[in-house]
Amino acid sequence: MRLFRRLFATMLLAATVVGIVAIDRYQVTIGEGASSAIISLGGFPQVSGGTRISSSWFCPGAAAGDGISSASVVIVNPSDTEIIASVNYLSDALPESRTVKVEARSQVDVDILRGRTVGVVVPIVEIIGSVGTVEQELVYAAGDVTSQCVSQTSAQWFFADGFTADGSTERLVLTNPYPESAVVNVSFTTTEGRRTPPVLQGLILAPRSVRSIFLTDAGATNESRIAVEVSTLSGQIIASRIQHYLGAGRLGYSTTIGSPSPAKEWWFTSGRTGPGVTEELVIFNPSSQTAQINISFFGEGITNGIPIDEKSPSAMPSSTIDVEPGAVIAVKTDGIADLPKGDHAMVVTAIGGTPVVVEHVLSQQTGGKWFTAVTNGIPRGLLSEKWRVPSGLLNGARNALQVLNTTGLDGTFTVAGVGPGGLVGFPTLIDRPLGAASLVSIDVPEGISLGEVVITATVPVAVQRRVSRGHGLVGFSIVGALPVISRR
Amino acid sequence: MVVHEHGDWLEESLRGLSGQTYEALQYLILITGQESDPQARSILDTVATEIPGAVVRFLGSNIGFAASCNSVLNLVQGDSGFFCFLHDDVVLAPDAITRLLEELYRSNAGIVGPKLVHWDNVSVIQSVGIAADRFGVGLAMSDDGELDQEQHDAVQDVFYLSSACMLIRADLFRTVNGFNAELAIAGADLDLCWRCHTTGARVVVVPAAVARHRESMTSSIDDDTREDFLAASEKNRVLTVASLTTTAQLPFVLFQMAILTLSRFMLLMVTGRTRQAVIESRAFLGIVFSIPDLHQRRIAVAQYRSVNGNEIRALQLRGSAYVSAYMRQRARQAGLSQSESVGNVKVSSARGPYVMWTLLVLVLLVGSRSLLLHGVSSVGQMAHFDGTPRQLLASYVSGWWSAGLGQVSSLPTGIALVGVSGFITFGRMELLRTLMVVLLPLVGWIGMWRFASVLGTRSAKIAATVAYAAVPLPYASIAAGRWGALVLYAAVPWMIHVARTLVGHMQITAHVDTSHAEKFGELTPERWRRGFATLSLITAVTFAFEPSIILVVPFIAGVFCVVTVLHGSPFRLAVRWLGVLCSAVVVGLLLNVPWSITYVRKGWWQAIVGAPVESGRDSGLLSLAQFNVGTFTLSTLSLSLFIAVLGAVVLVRGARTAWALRGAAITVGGLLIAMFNDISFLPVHLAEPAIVLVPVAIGISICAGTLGSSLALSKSRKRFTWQRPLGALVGIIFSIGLLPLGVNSLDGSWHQPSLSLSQLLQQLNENDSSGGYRTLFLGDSRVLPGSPVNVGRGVSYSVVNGSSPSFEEMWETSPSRISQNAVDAVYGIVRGQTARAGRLLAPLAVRYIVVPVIDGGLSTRERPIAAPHGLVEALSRQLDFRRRYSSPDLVIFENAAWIPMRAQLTSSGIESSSLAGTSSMIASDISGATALADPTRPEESITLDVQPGTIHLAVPYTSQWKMESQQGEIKTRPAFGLTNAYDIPTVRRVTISFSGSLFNFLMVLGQFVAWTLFIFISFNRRRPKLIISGESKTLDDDVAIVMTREIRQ
Repeated sequence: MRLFRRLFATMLLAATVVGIVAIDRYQVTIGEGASSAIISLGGFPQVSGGTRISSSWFCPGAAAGDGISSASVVIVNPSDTEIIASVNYLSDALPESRTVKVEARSQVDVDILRGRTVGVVVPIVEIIGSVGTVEQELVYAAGDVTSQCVSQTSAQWFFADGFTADGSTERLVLTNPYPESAVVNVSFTTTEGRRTPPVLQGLILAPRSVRSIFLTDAGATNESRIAVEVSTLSGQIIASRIQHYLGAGRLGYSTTIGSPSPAKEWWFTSGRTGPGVTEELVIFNPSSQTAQINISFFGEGITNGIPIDEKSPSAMPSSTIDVEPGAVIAVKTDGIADLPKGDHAMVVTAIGGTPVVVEHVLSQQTGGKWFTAVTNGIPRGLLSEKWRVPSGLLNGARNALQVLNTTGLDGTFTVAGVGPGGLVGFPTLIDRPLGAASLVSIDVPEGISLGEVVITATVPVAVQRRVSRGHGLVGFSIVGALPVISRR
Repeated sequence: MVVHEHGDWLEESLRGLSGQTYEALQYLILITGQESDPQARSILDTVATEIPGAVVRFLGSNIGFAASCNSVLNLVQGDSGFFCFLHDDVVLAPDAITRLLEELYRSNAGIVGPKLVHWDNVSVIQSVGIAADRFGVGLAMSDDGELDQEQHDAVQDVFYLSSACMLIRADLFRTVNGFNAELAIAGADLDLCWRCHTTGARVVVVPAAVARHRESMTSSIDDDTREDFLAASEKNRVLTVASLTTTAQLPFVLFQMAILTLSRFMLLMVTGRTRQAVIESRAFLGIVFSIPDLHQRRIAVAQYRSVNGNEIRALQLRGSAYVSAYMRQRARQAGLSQSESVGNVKVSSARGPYVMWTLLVLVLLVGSRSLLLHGVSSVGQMAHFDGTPRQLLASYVSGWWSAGLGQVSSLPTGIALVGVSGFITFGRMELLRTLMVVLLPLVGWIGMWRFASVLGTRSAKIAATVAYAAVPLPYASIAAGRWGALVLYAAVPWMIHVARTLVGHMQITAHVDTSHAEKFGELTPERWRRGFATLSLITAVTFAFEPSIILVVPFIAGVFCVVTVLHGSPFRLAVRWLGVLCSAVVVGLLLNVPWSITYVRKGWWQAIVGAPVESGRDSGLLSLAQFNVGTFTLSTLSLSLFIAVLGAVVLVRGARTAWALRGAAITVGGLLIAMFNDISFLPVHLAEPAIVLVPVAIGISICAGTLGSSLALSKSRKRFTWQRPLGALVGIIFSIGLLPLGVNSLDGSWHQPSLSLSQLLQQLNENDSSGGYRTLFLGDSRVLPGSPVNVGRGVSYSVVNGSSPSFEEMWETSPSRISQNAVDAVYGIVRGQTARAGRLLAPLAVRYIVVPVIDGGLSTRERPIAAPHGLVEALSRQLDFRRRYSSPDLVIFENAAWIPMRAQLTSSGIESSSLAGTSSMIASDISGATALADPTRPEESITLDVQPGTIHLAVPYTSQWKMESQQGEIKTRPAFGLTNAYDIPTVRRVTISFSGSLFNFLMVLGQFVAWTLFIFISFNRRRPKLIISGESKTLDDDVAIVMTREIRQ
């Protein structure tokens, strides 16, 4: 072999070795795994924007013995084709189910009590495909209740607000939709501190069953402030709260699913201050570190120039509030001197990094009648450019929707309804301007269809609605809309 | 004298007979043939001329020597006197009969025989009697060709004498009823002498009596006849042992003979003497078919047996005649080698290979002792062999492949090969599995030993083999259960060995190290065909177990081709590497038809190389270089083996340079490819590291071989050069790399895990009466059993029947509608697209969903491969999955919605089954179906009583699964748009069976014919002949290349 050939071959080998060493320094990326299956903030009400084989909706449930006239789930099909939904009824008895068909561009109310007069029934609706949405509705003489359903279970649930004063009742409904038992611990925090009653530790939830717990039975009697924490030792569940306010400044009925996790930022769009109005932000810090809270307000006349982001001139911050570990506090907005009277939106920010759970409680006396509305906030991750209101809005309802531009950018929004002809924009609500960090309260035009309502904006917004209590009762309840979250 | 044919020798033989000094001789000449035959007439004339007084009898036909001799029992009256039986090509010395008789009287012997010497050279001994072991294997008292220096001139007892010339007492001959007439071709002498021993008669050789023997029969026969002769000899030997061994000794002897035959079979197979292996095995197995005959023979012998078995045993060789013959042969070769090497270069002592092989085999036995005693763990790909050989072959022919979710398909050829192999271990499939694991490294070593012969010195062979044995790859593969890598490790050296002979690389002679030229030669066409058939067969067998061979081999061929060109050899010869190996790959693929046809589809790449690890394995260069594909202690020290590559490039000179560069190139190239694969740098993923690293192991070994050869030659020179100290340093560093092998062998099981995934899954209770089911495994492809399929996002899945996989599920099945349904369900879980994946999986009989983390192989507690992020949580959110078991090793979910493999559906199930698509499956809960009995094997038929309703079979929809009752066939209908359903109107007794297609049967038959043809060509009975100057000469393998040209640069 000639020398130059040998040299060439040797050099080639050496170069390859150098290449191998260089490649060895290359950093590989970590695989994604199945993380996409875990929907971010999935335990909060929301709609997935992606393709799905089936969607599951877990609703808070209805207590048959509470004097409810009727309870139903509203299954909404905004699409152009029929969908099939399976409604499963979980209770303390054997689970049952039925299949329903929902015609295109329509909705179906499915009774969930089916003649039951005692116990709690929790509906779980499974829809083939991804287009349908579900809400739960109760007809009750003390005020009708619309509740959101969620599409994911969780191992933890939090309720910042709770109330058993003056004979009010608070019931926790724990639902295990899985074919295996779940073991649950329940603790609560009152003004006197955190309590973990032994009777609420190691609760075994049988497969596909529901268990309801009156907090008064656990010793939380006549408490005006009860924050509840539910955690599982094994399995995942749905935890909801059925609250009947009977005095001490509150009146009404509500059912709501808890918050599956604390968050660093909570948005509320249906705040109000004024005569006869008592507004509280109930903040629960379930962590072991002190949380530092800041509250900013949005709305007409609130222009103190403190930005919520680089370009926003519209927010007014409160002073920083410390929430001790495990403590629950209530911030009354009428105590904030500079806050103008009227409607406003709020964002509660945990500036210290310790997440908290926040609920909005609004009680108002109107003409000698009281009503109380309790609402979960919207975490930042769910601020979206598209929102859906499954059960729709009432014709001509005033201040039915509150849309908050959560950015410092000007934008527009459109409100449309699903009718027989498909999705049609409301005449006066197409491409309406939405200023940076501004709050818009929307009146529903007369003559609109009763189908699902869709709000689309050019910027991320937060949307909540005020729902009539029916029966000629004064006031409203506050219910969030469903953000549409697009996923990879 | 029995005269068979007339030749030049006959007159001389007759003359020797007539010239005997013993006067009382009477001559009886038995001629095979009719009196009217011209040749017989010619013989008669010759006899009349040479021995006028001889009695001549014509036997009519060639009834064999034994039967011919027995005719004296009728022709000669009386028991006094003696018979001297002679071949027609034996010339007795004038005093031979006298000497024989004198000694017979003196020794009181029953049979005596002369010293046989060669016909043409009386100073060369042909035979002085034959010893035999308890298995009837003969060992001549003298070596053939041994010079007669009176070293064997003592009268001695022997076990038997050649029938060419033996003198026996007439009464004894009558007592034992003469020769066994059934032993027409061979073995009559052993049989007669053994039977005489049973009467107490002595068999004695009398060297003072001399006879020349031409041995005309064995020298004149053609190859076919020789093989028949060998087969008859073996058969007769075995039958003689079985009929003459005493009853008390027979079981032990047969058991020992079985062990010996099996050992011989494996030895002969790995050393390429397949024909001999088959002949010996067939002879032993033939006992079963000869039991009635043996019984008769034993009754006959019992009538005159007067000596117990122990006395006869004392006359036989201790141990094995094979071992004695081998030792004697090696000793003789050593002596010849010593005498021939005087003045030549001494490159290695003849003791070297013995020491090396002894140590290697010892290491293998010590290292595998636990595996041999307790079996191989079912880890990784080393799944259990379920089923008997017959069942496996029946399954192969049926055309129903139950792996995964089942399908109508041709089955992998590997199943048939395992089925056939199962007969070798008499149906002990676990023993077969153990042997297939433990012996594969040995096969690889022998292959490397054979390949390294091209380097021309014993040192090269030793160095290459030791290096190949020292790389951690095979042991780490055993630890991790990577059978594919182990198969490649064993096969590839053989492939490149055969390929290099086909390419024409000639063996480098030991003394040539100054010439840079490689020598090439041409094989005879016949030899080339045989070599190519062998190469194709090896490829086909390897592909049958590890399809990625079709990528590894072209890689090696490509590298060798490039290096050959760089080295300056003609391009045409370089391209031959590609041509030969790629052609062998193609033929190997064709030999795997019909199964290999299933690869013609989308996703074929993944089916060949396995599921990817999308984000890269990220093992790193050091880990790859240490062959860290499984547990192997002190693997860091193995890095020192790479010094052989560097040393070869720097130190090797002469013609071996080309091989050094080839070795270095596939080492470096292999590592480069492995690194690319490690970080997912290539546009396609490759096979697992254990497979990609096989060329690296071979490259190191080739380099070690060239280096060993060069250093040995360098040492032999008187002149001191700079290479010497450097070579010594390289040798020292290299030897460090040998240390881990010894250390790891102490473990006894090559670190196979004591607790594997299969064992953990035993808790799923195989004997559950709730019906047959499948298990879905989800997770990282490296830890999934069976044949994982990637579904994206780093998640793979595999489906197995029952709770743990069998080896039949090691190959990936073709995608089907039913498997697509499984993929949809898995994807739905992974992407969070449904919480009802359990209902989608229910019609597929998927009961358990397992996320393995620690499989004991690639993922251990020390080096766990975590489950894909979020997978367990995603599964936890499924509304039909209940968690049965959760630990750091694995998580098991049970699908509450499942229905058994064969089940009677509930009313909601019947309603749902009549619809197709996911909607109906998700909307309905079909659980609660009544399980029906399952057959032993999935493809077997079963008869049972069923109630009116719908029977569901969790198999892809096919009309080949039939249900029949006395009222006729019940029509198959699709269920859920995926599977089979049968609507039963009334209570019935039905039979569910699979009906294979004629097309599949014909394909399998064609495959069988093709394999038979290739085996026939590959083990062609004619030995290769070298043609030099018109002269024919038989050659050994390594020198069977005709030097038609020598290429110099």
